[in-house]
Amino acid sequence: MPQKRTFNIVGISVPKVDGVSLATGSAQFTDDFELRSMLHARMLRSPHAHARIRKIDTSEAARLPGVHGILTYKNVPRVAHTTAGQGHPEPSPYDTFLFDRKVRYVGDAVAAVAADTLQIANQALQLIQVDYEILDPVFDPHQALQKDAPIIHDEPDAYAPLPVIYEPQRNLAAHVDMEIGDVEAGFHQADVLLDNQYSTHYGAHAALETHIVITYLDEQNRLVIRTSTQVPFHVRRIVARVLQQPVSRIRVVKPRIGGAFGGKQEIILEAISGALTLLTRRPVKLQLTREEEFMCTRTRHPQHIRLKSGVKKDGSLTALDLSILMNAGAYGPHALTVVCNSGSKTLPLYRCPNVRFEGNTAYTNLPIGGAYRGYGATQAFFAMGVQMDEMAHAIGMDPPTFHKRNHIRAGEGSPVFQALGEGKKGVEMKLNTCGLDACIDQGARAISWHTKRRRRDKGVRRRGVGMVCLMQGSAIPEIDMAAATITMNDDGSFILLAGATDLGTGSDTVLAQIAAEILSVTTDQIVVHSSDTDFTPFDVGAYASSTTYLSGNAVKHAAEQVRQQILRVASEMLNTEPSMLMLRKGTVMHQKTTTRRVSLADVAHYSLYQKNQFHISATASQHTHISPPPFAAHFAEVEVDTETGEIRVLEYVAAVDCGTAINPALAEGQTEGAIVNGISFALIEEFHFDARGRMLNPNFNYYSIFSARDVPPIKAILVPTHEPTGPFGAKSIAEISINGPLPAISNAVYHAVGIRLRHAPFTPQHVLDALRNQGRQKKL
Amino acid sequence: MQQILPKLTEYFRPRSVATAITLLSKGKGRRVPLAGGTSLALSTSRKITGLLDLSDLKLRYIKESQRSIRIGATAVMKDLCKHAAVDRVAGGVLQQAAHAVGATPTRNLVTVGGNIVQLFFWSSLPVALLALDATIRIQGKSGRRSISAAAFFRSHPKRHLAFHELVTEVVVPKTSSSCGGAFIKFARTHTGYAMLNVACVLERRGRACHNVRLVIGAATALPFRLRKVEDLLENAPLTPSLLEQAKSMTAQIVKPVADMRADPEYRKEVAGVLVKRAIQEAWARAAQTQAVSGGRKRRPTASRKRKSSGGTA
Ligand SMILES: Cc1cc2nc3c(=O)[nH]c(=O)nc-3n(C[C@H](O)[C@H](O)[C@H](O)COP(=O)(O)OP(=O)(O)OC[C@H]3O[C@@H](n4cnc5c(N)ncnc54)[C@H](O)[C@@H]3O)c2cc1C
Repeated sequence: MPQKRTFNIVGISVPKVDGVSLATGSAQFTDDFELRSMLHARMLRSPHAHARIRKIDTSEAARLPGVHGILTYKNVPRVAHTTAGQGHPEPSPYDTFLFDRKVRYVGDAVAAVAADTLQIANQALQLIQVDYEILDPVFDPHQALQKDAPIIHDEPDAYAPLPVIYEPQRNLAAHVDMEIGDVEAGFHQADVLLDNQYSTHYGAHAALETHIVITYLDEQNRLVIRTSTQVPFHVRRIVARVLQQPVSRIRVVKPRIGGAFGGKQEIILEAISGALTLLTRRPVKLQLTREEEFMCTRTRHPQHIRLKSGVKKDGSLTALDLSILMNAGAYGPHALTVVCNSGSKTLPLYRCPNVRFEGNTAYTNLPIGGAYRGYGATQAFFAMGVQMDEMAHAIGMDPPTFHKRNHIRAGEGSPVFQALGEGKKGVEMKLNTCGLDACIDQGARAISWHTKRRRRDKGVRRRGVGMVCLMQGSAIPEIDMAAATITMNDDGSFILLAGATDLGTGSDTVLAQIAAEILSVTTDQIVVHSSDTDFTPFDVGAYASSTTYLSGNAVKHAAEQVRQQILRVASEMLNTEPSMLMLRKGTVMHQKTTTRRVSLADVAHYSLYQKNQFHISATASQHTHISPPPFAAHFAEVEVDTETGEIRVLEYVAAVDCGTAINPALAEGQTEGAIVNGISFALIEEFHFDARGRMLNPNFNYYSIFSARDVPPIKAILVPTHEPTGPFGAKSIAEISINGPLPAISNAVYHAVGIRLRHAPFTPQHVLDALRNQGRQKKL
Repeated sequence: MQQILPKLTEYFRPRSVATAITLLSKGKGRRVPLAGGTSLALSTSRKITGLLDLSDLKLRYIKESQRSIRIGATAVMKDLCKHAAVDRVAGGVLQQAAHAVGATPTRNLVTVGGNIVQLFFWSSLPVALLALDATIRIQGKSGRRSISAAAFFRSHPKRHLAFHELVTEVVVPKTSSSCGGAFIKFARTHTGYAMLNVACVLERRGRACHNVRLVIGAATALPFRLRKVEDLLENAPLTPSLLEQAKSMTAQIVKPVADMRADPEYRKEVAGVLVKRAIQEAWARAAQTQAVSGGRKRRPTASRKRKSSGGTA
């Protein structure tokens, strides 16, 4: 058991450092910014799912008074790139051009116009004449991989920058496979074999703030990009390449962000707006409408999953065979890594000697998949979580017992960690911590599992409980890196410059707490800036559940160095050895004679104005060899209306091991938010398309999401462990809990009414159909 | 992206209904009443050049008389939700319908007049008003007229209301305590647009229902009465098999128009289920009302409650 550690600020739910400014409306988002003579940009988008542009004529639009610049494929550099904001070189194919002669889905970019007003820009769009040669589209990923399917990326210059399998000539955007042990032999050893298919659907991030960017030239004619992004440094690098500008000529500023959930790990608007600014030499604002946000940004990749497993009567797993066909949509950002994650974040959870995994990603003429909280694990945990329940049922074991029997434990590794990385091999990793047993026990108790499991309802509305176990990672090993700078002010306060991007998660607060803990001050003594590529040090950005674990460590190391410098200065002032000094509540004091003391303000003043002057400051960087998984056990109680097919979640319990929760309220908030997001996705969210691939419901009227009134009681239980490689024992928490609702609800529905929901979403009609089929089968 | 009311140049805030009607008449159809604005705020109509703000017409009221409740056209959903007299009409069916409109901020804006004139297939209030046999009062340049909800919703109100006409009031007949009612909205979320709406009002006499009125909304462009099902239920003892009959008969009658969220077949079936439930709920409410007013013990509590909430009206 980890011993109890006491901290001053870590582990306490201090208020968010940006809380007051957000609540009072003084917080500055991208749009809260006016520049003189700013132009407004709008984009012309393809009405066709698949077409070639025969002719495009912008002359009439250009003549419209108030129009200052128009971009099409004719006047922008043709640079193959990916919009995925990932490390470099990216594991995603370079299949995207700022504008192209070809359009590949309804909503694809055709042209952009910058004008004095939005109205003029809109008018100009209507004056652009486009002559399309309409091509056959393909919407189904299975069909896309057939021999005679239309080829979506037939351009010769699309390529993968890493040595990975990429075959656009047959619509294959990515492929990955691995085998450990001998799966066929494993199936032979099994007492029970299961083989089922599952599918997950499109989902929208539905951030309140749509994608938005403002670009302008500074006094040195450098391009400044103020943008709602999770990845400022990747924005700088990718825009520099696409616009053929040196990195030194670009500055990216991340203001407050109105929600992202992975959707803003993409460089969708920055290069277009930047190109318009370079063309017009004027500031330009480009913001997407809600309709564009739904149709033209990124989504959760739909997956078709087949999972085969073998299990012995005693509950031990003999083989797992997971194969996935993922729909990339029209372009391939994250096409490889999301599907890799579907394997690498699910398969290691269970001890199994024989494991096979195959992932294929196909292009289709539909909206583009991308990073979305959970990142492939959400899809695959649906299949894994349901099939584990099916196995437990098949051998007559209570699911909590079954999970406990099979899950990975501290001290153990999994060959899957090594076999599957992100565009390259993974890393060997042994777990330092795993609190899953405690999560299962505490969660089961909180939902009264054993009582409720025994109940069998007979009426119209029937209740049931279900559970699932989950894991995720903390940062991408051997790829991600983060850095932070801390400087001391004359009054003894500090400035923390973080490359890490707080996108509403509260990471500025968590990082401030980490610095404050080391420097023995309160968080109001830490001024946090995140992020500005000119002023804050490098950080890959907010994704892969990396910020607390990785950026947190960078902050911790920087703070430790600053602390050393403070002690050194104080030792000079107090005429003693640094090792004899300690830092307590803004004061440096002698360990024995505590009356020998100086305040932090004294230290700062001395170091800046008095003797042997230097600026107390440090920058530290952090990378990682491992990605310690957080773990969780989720429990759902549902009520199924057998006449309408409606599912209501009555109660949801999530017990999560995230190591040390630096700020418990924020950790619970991440958990609750992810669960609401996950339940909404499981039950009601749905993209509807017409026969020609146009999304029919790109608005909140018909793409419903949960609001406060729909949210069931959620109980988040934080189960502490101590991860020695994380800051103060912390692991991640941001993504893991979105993986729970699909399988937990499906399993609870099985308990309630005996139907297995293997295809999401669980809309009332779908559930009622399943109940009908069950009735029919029973009669036969 | 289209501009909202691109041709808008005039704004009026008349202080009397008469002035409002004169202004509307002079507008020749290019000026329209502005009530809660929740739907006008999204209008991209190029025809509209002027808005007539109704908020100074003193039409935001709910008045109780012996026989009826008169609701002014600019009373908002929130007003209906918290009004004791409204709550007592047919087991609170109107209140339930008002509560089904969007979320709290929406209910603070949406007016009775706006909700019934700007009829969408999923609109809530019209369904309840049809079931309650309400009357709509209209005033125009040639005077006042009153028409039944049935006539008002026979075609889309925007089709038959003249451009110079204003809905001024909705009159809902009071019901006896043996009358119960229920409104059920079937949607993906609490605040979402209905995929089906059902309202039921009935009187309970002994074991049988009387004067049953059943309305279905959101299945088709206009809400409609289920007369055949009403006839089936009339004067019949409410048995489980009768309810099942009502359910399957409804499923046969209702022919839902396409809705991407669910197949017509599914919605037909659910319409039957909802009708059955609405009847059960209305029945149960009627019983409760009887029990409360008849039961000696509970009478003081009930009347005190009525008094205090009546005071806020
Ligand atoms: C997010 C949201 C969710 C909603 N959900 C629902 C729901 O679930 N169920 C539901 O029923 N409604 C719902 N509504 C309300 C509905 O869509 C309409 O917006 C509303 O009913 C219009 O009322 P209003 O008072 O705002 O009318 P306005 O927008 O002001 O006017 C609407 C139209 O009616 C005319 N008009 C208004 N008052 C009068 C009058 N007294 N006489 C003559 N003409 C008049 C106007 O000229 C205009 O043409 C929702 C609205 C929103 C914004």
